[in-house]
Amino acid sequence: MTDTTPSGFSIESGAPPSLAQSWSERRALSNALLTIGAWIAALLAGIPLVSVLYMLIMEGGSRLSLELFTELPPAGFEMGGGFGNAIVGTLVMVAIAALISIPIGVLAAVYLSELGPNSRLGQTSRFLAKVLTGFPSILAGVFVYAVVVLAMGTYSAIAGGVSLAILMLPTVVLTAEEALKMVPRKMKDAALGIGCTRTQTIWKVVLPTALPGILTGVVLGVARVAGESAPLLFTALFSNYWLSRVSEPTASLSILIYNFSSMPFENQIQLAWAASLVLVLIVLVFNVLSRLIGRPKY
Amino acid sequence: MLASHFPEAGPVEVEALMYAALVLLAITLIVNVVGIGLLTITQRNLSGRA
Repeated sequence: MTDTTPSGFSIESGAPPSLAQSWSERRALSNALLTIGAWIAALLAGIPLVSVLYMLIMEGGSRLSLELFTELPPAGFEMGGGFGNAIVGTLVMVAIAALISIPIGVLAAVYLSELGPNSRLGQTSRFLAKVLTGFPSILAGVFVYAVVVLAMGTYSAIAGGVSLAILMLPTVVLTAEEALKMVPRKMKDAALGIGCTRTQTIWKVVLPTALPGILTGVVLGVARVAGESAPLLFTALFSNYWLSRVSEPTASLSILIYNFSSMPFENQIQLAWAASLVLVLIVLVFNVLSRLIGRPKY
Repeated sequence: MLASHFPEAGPVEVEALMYAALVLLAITLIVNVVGIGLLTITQRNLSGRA
């Protein structure tokens, strides 16, 4: 006597069904094909990054030396030189961007997740943050040019930092909101239960618990803006000298690559390759950092 | 166009480039609004079926 399962398989009464995979079954075959397809797609997705890294290491690796980090960009037919001022400029502008966007972003995320998640202001802010994620970076540059550069009367590291902050803000807001939402309800209830005010609960319980997630968002935001060139073209411009004040035109790695790659001098083109390699390494370090910070501890 | 023309642009060209930036902003907003709208409708339909 045989029984038939709802899916059409017949099993002998009393005997356990065989769980061994049979390749003759259509679903097993399609499962294997889809798995192989997914593996191939995953490998294909990695090819662009690997090939870009390979090319940068081949072209720019040979120029890597200490003088690149300590010397100023060379003039036309000059040999040697480096881009120390561009590294400093990039770091300063990213720091200004982080100083502006982290407090605003984290506090906005606190409002979105804790204070008014379903309020009209909350929904509008969330919508605008999502729109800002897809905002063309050049528009941030044009906006800051009109608002900051024209008002200050000069290109500056401050204007560059503000334009990068605009691009960094949505990443910080949306990632921090997700991190804050992951904090267990029980922890908040326990804090409120022992007499904490809402502010104390947020400052002493919610924010410290969500800190790894928030930091991941911050580092991802930094990694995103570190390689931006379009907004800096309108706001920080470029300088061949070391940064002495944040209110003057400032060099950055991305603009240096943009300028040097179109020059007819071999030395400058090699410097552009080396600067590209350094920039990619900086962004890679930030990305790896974000993965390490966001990794589950238990 | 914005990146290549802006550094050498005079006051009149800057105005024209600002209009170009405005058009780009409008396109971005429309694409984003349509995308978010589609996502909301799809999510609503899926949650309705579940």
